[in-house]
Amino acid sequence: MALLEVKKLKVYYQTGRGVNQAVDGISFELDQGSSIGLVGESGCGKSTTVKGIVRVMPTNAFIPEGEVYFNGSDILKSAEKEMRQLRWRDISIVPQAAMDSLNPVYTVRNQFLEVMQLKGDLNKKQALVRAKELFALVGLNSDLLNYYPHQFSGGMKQRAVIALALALNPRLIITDEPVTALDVIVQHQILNELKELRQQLGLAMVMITHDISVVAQTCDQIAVMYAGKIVEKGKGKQVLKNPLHPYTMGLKNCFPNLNQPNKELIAIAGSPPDLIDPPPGCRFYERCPFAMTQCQLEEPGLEELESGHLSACFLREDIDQYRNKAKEVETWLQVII
Amino acid sequence: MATSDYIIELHQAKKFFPIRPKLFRRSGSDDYLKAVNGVSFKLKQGESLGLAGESGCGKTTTGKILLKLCAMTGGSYFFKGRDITTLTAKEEIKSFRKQAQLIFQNPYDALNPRFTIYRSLLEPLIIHNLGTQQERRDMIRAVMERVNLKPAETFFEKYPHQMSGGQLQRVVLARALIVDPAFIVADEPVSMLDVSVRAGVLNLMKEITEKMDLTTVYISHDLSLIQYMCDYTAIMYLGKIVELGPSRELIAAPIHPYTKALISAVPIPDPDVANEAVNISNNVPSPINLPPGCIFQDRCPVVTQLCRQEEPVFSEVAAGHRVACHQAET
Amino acid sequence: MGAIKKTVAGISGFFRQDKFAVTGVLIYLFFLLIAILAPWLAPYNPHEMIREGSQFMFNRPPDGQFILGTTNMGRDIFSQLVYGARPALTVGFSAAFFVMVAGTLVGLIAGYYRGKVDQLLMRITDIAFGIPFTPFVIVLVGFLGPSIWNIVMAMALLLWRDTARVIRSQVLTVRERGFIEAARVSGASDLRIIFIYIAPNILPLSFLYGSLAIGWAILTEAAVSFLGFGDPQVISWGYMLNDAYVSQALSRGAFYWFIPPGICVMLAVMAGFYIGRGSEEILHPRLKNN
Repeated sequence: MALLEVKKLKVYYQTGRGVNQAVDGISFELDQGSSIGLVGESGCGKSTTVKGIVRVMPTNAFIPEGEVYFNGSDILKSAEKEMRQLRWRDISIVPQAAMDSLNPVYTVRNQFLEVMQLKGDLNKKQALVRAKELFALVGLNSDLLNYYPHQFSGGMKQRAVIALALALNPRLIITDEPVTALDVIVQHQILNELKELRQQLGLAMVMITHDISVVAQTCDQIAVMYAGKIVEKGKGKQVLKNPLHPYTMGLKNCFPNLNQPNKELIAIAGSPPDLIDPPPGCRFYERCPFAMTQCQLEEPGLEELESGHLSACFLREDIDQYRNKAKEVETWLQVII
Repeated sequence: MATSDYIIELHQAKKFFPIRPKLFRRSGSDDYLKAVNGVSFKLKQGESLGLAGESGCGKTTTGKILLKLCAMTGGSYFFKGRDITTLTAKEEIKSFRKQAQLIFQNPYDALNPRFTIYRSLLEPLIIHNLGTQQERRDMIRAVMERVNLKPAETFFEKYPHQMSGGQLQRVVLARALIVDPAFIVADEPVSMLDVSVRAGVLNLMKEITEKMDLTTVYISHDLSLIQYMCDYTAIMYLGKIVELGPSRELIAAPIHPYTKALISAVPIPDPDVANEAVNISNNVPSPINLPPGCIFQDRCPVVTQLCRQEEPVFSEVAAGHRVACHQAET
Repeated sequence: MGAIKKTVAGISGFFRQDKFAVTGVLIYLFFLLIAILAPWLAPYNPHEMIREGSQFMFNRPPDGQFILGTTNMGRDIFSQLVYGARPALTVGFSAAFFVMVAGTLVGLIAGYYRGKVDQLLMRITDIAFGIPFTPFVIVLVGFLGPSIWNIVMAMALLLWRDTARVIRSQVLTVRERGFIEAARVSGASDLRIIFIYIAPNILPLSFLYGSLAIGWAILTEAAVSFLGFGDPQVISWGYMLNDAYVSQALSRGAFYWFIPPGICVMLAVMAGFYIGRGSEEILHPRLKNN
């Protein structure tokens, strides 16, 4: 049984102009100890997805449909009180800009003790021992516990926040852009740290990021999101090496690669559709160089084309040929917005 | 007027910030944050240089020095053979301002929210007194078409909040180009943009700067971007350039241990490439009180006794490739 | 100028959205109309001691002839109330205008130049903050002579302080924004940056503080007149209250004399604060979009 199973989850926002279908029917599974990266551009719904999963949402958001099974029970149906128990103890979240989530007027030690005494039912002594353990786990000197957050560097803060998230031995950790604001060297160290911690503690992880190079190194599975939907899903290697969906192919073209100095960057023309009134067919239709008439009328479902590799696109045969075409600038210039 | 092959000649540029208010400063002590501590490079017309490094390494301050947005504490800066540090006459400063332009990191903030796009592009023409009423309109249309905002008229009356990040960054680029500059500094020009539009803006900048033979300095923490955009790359650390060379050469065969560590840590969007980074410690010393010797000594995996005593000279190891490391000299 | 037009459009749009602000504006418009039409609305000259034959109409309660009765000197209260709108609005709007202009200028210059200029201007502001407002007005008016314009001047001399401080802090944020640096890079002069780039962005804030100042000024004029330091030639609501107080209208139960001017003062002050209530919406235009 999967640890986390998200089934056709929808998260909508009520706005002044109408209902924004920010997340529109997302499904994925995550086994104990494995990891998935949700990749996409801003506004694709990746952050909203996890906010929906743990139900920490802005007041104008609601979940019209969907199921989220954690450890076999549907947590969307559980009461807020039970959810509060679940968060941090079983599912831990490292939010975006997590570095700012430490309170500047308390020492880091105080904040650790607070969490562990309140949520973990430890006494002060036990909590302190645990705090030191956690600091060692993420590679921080335990003397640093007595410092204030502003005395920490960005990387140290990020490590401390990760340690705090691990405080109660969760089984699932959700990280939202965990390394975006960090320098490359620290970024690399934190990603490695996360990888090792996961193996050591048997943690499952959902990582949200816009950067495919970050997930390439850290996640077993990748789900590419576009305009509120998963358009492609599979093992990391499958998705990045042999993308099936034109959006993934295009996204790959957008990233410079240090090892390929001659690679030309190619942009995807246009911008994602308005999710208050999304088009009826494929949401990538307007920007897709391989769009067909069918795509405008009918929405392609997520289908398994190779073992464990799914794509929501009507291109289901001869994908190699499209993949090669997608590497050429001319292909993407055909798209007229 | 002095002539020179170089557009930019920066020599031992320094910028120190006092870190205590004057009232409490102890006399004789050296409490300065050395944001830029002796940076030198030269650029010919049409050449592009990327300044890379971790946050706080002084790359943005160097950019400000290049645009005369902050006064230097020491060193000299010649622009087209003229000493920029001594410019005082209003007209001369204005003429420099016309020739050196900036592309901002955050396009959402770089345009006055209360100006229409047309008005924002008109401003530089008013300030520098270029063109008649009709000519100005034509100039604005031409520059907008040049940055692929077509048809230009549809954007004239728009306000910044009505446009996307990619479009705004094109307007910012257009504003820099409209006065026909010789030199452009781009500070993290695409870091605020969505990945799928980044490539478009980068390609456009590359194409235009090449076509107009502009001298450019890109400031970025992203080495892969610098490699894509720049002829030369300079790696900065604690206010100094530790290595400078032709981009591809520097990235394929880095010499300075810091450059090596930096390059090995850059994530590669390819799951087959195992990222085995050179592990260096995280303790960046404070740029306020630096120890004698090499600035990288505390984190360097190949540090020697010499490095702790003597500062390495920034010297040439191959044509156009300079490194500040004792190990590289032999 | 386009920026001002847009600001005005933005502000009027905001007024349309916020019910309180609409109420505030309506109250001011109402008083403005009364002040303009006073000669036609008022049945009597407010200074006139009315008599019928040889009989002075002292202390008449409200009836068909005198809507709000008469004073102990036989003057028509309703006419006084109508004419009272004139000094109230004169004082309110002119004081607010000076406050807006002076406060905005000081704030702009202090915030933009910073350093010594800022230090000097802000210390002057601190001094202005140290002076108690109403006593200062009373003393100055006592010194210069009781006239409406002296009251306005006395108020303008102090009330700019709040505006200046708020505008300065706003300027400090705006001047760090990218488009200001862009203006500097393109070679714009300091004055150009201040008036073309920064000023339009803080204009809504000065309008807001201007509208608050209207309320304050009317209230202060009423207080000063009530205490008997007002212009004796001008019948204002404060003067009416003072008149009623010294002739012991309260003990005689002549509510029709002091309640109406009291309500007018309250309404005018309230209107200023109602307009100010929507401040968040003006100051954070992004909130409006959602």
